Amino acid sequence: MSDAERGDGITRRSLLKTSAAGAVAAGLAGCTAGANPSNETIAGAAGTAYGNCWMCHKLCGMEVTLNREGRAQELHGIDGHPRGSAGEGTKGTLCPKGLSQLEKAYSPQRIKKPHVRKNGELQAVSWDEAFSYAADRFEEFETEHGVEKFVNWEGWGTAGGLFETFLKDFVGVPNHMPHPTPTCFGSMAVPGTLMGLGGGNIRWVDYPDTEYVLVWGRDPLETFAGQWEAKQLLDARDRGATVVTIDPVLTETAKQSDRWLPIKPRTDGALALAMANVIIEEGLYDEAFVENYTHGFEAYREAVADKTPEWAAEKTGLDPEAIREVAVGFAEAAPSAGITSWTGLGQSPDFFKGAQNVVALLGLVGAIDRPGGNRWLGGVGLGNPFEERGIELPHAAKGKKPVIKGKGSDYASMIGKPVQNKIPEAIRNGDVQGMSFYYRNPVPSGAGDEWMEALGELDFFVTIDAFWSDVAREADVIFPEATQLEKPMLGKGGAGAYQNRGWITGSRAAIEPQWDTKPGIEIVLGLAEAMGHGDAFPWNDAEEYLNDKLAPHDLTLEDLEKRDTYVVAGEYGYEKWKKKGFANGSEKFWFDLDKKAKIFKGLSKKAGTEIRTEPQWIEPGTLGDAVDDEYPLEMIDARTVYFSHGGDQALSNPLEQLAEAMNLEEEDYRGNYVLLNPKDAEKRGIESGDMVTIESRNGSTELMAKVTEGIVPGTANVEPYGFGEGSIQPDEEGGNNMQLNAPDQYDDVSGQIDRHLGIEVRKTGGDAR
Amino acid sequence: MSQEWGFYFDASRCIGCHACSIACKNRHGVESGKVDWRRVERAQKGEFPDVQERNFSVSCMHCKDAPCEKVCPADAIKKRDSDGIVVVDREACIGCHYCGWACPYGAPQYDEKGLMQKCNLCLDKGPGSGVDAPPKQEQEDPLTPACADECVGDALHAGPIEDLLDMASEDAQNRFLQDDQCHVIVESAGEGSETGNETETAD
Repeated sequence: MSDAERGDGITRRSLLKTSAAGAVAAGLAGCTAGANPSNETIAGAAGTAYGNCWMCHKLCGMEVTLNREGRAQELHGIDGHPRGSAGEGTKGTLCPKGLSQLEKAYSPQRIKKPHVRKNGELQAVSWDEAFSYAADRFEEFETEHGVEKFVNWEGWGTAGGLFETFLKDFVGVPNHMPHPTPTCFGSMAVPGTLMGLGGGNIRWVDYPDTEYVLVWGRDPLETFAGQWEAKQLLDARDRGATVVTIDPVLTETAKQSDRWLPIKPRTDGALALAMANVIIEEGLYDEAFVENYTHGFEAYREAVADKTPEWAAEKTGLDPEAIREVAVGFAEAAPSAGITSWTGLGQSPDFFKGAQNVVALLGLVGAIDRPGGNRWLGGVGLGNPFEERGIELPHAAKGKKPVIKGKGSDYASMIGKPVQNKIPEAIRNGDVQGMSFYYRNPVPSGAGDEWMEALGELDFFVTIDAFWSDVAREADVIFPEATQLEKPMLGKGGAGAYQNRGWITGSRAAIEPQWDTKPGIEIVLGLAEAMGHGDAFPWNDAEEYLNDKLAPHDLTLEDLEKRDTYVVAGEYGYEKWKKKGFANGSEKFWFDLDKKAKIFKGLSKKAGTEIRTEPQWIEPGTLGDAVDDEYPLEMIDARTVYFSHGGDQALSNPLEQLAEAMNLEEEDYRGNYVLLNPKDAEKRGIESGDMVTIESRNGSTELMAKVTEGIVPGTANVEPYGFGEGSIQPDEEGGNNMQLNAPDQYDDVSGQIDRHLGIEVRKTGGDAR
Repeated sequence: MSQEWGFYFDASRCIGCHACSIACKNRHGVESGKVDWRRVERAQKGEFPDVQERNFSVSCMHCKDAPCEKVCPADAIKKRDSDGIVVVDREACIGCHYCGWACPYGAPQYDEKGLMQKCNLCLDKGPGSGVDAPPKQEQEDPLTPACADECVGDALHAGPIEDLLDMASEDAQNRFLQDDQCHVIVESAGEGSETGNETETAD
């Protein structure tokens, strides 16, 4: 690899820190006598440590100011960091969640000791006892049920890979649920991959060179994948690139865009077809790319021939002239034009077609992996610690048939992906009898009520988490994990501020594990030892294990800290499809998915109408839930910067700021909110600050209403999700809107859980209807 | 005036994330709750679909002619000649809240003891700190105010006014120079600005 371009690793920021401790202290010491312990004078700042933020798992680099007792006092971003800055020579920061890690590390609401279930009750025990209890229970489970009936389920654990390797290759568990689908953006990711763009690539616009950005069902100024995205998007706009946000909600990104197209939910597919109609009609598409690198253009052209902006205006609620202008602007800027999309077009069965129509636009204008278009990321590899030590994996799961995925599974989607919503049924049927959750909580993700019931029926349930929840309280073994500041971190990319460059970032623990907790890697090491696999896990601690991953680069975590936690390495170019083909395994990008006709046959059968292989308009409710007279509002939801998730409890500071953002901080309520347009609110006698019940055909929950002009009438936006019953919020305040989702409401192709539901909203206690 | 410190705020780059508020709380040991040295306000105007919303990060404006200083019966509030920073001496503060009534920006905050605390432009850490601190410009490595240091959108800056004026547009410079109270340079972001968005719907 090319070495870091940073030489001695001393930056303006690190210089400032070291000198601040000495020089300024003389002048200021004593000014704040009597301040609380986290609030000492500059003279009290005894040292600097490092970290890589894990609040939304994007590894933004951090400097941690420590006091003399080794307590973390302040957190700061790192200049030039690939995730926390806009790139070389730019300022690094931390977002509000990142800054809240101080509160997270020292929160008294943490799980403070390992727990095991004895005679039906959870009891705090030592780590040794917890490991040996878990080892015995795993052994009993294997004898009684067989490991085929055990499911491991991971969210964003920091030892994710190692925990899965242990359970799969040493214990023999064949069932592993990956993170992104079925809870993230499956309805966009699967068509994106089948067409050849690659599921995740719909997010990454090459901001430094772009001239036109369609922010389509995503809010990168708030829900960024690392702060670099927000910074580079603002920079692109200030440099003159046009930013258009297509969203039913006036998001932070919409507020800062050149244009907001407030689209009716689930009509994005119509807008995309009309844009294609204009682009083809005006001859603005990339003829050479279409000719040489795509398949199915004729079917696409025919499909959009009558899909005029006027036709789309009726479906979307948008102005036909605006549709025309945006189509022309986007196509003229291409290939330096990109689309960034995500969950907004990824969480309804209807989006399987809507997303296809949107992704097709990138092929039409040839904006795939070209400067200023949608990026295909490269990067840099890390070592395999087992290989470094010459340890062969026993591959214990080989030949064991997974229950939850693959062909023939009753609980898998059409393409064999595990369907989270079907696991409660698998538990009821006795096909799944044991589970492990690592920073994962299915209850706020779908079929909430069914999950709560099913968890109680498991024979054996292990969880690794940092905070208590109703889910954790159901477990037989609870391993409390240390939070980010208390453990070493290592990661690589990929997506980040450096155009066409990969990076590695890492740091050692900044503070000791609080209470009786351990880093995830050390939990796996302890469990492996207790289960008789100690020889294959020879590392003494997490840092030693991670350093083996860095070995091929001749680096250690300590070395990385000397370079401000990161190195930039591994260069890659554009138009990688020329040599490597597309993400569908073909040499061509597919507008028409006729080679996957079987999926469409299945969908047609389910919908009772023909779902075609080429881009096509389907009315909302064709595959997903219908909005009707009884349930007249479309529920959508959003993950704001303050969101809560397994392991990522929303802390008091972000909750306070969320309430302030809603202008409802005076209310004695710190849950989530449902946003309503005044037209919908007035009809129901609802005002901002009222507690309301949202109800679907399947269930209901209660939360606070926020009335705003910044939302399309007919839409109810739950912001953010992840609160209420079964969530990781300590008091379960707020509403869990996935109690409204029925187990059969998911995308049959990807397994993605449906979050676009027809609902009614009424003031709690009132009779609005 | 050249020695005076202040803030610069560009609403067109404020993403409303509140990192400024939380960075401030971390630095000064202020817990979540009603005491906010810095807060983010949202201003919405218009009706759907012609609706606009802007974020404004607000703290003590360190006014040129500070009304809080004038009304303080205990002489606890001082606009420092040396660096223009308005500080509160909590040993002198009697908790009468006159400053809270006088301030047009809601900057003075009151803790459980009823004493005033507010932004001190990070002269030092903690409520009431920095009263006797040397002038910002004489400190060898003055603390960058935490809010500006962690501003994700690069909307908020702090420093000597003359440096901040250099980064401001002519309009913002003029507004600042003509305003005899507010000591913060505010970049225009209202209607008619380059980034004020248009909305597009069928009627």
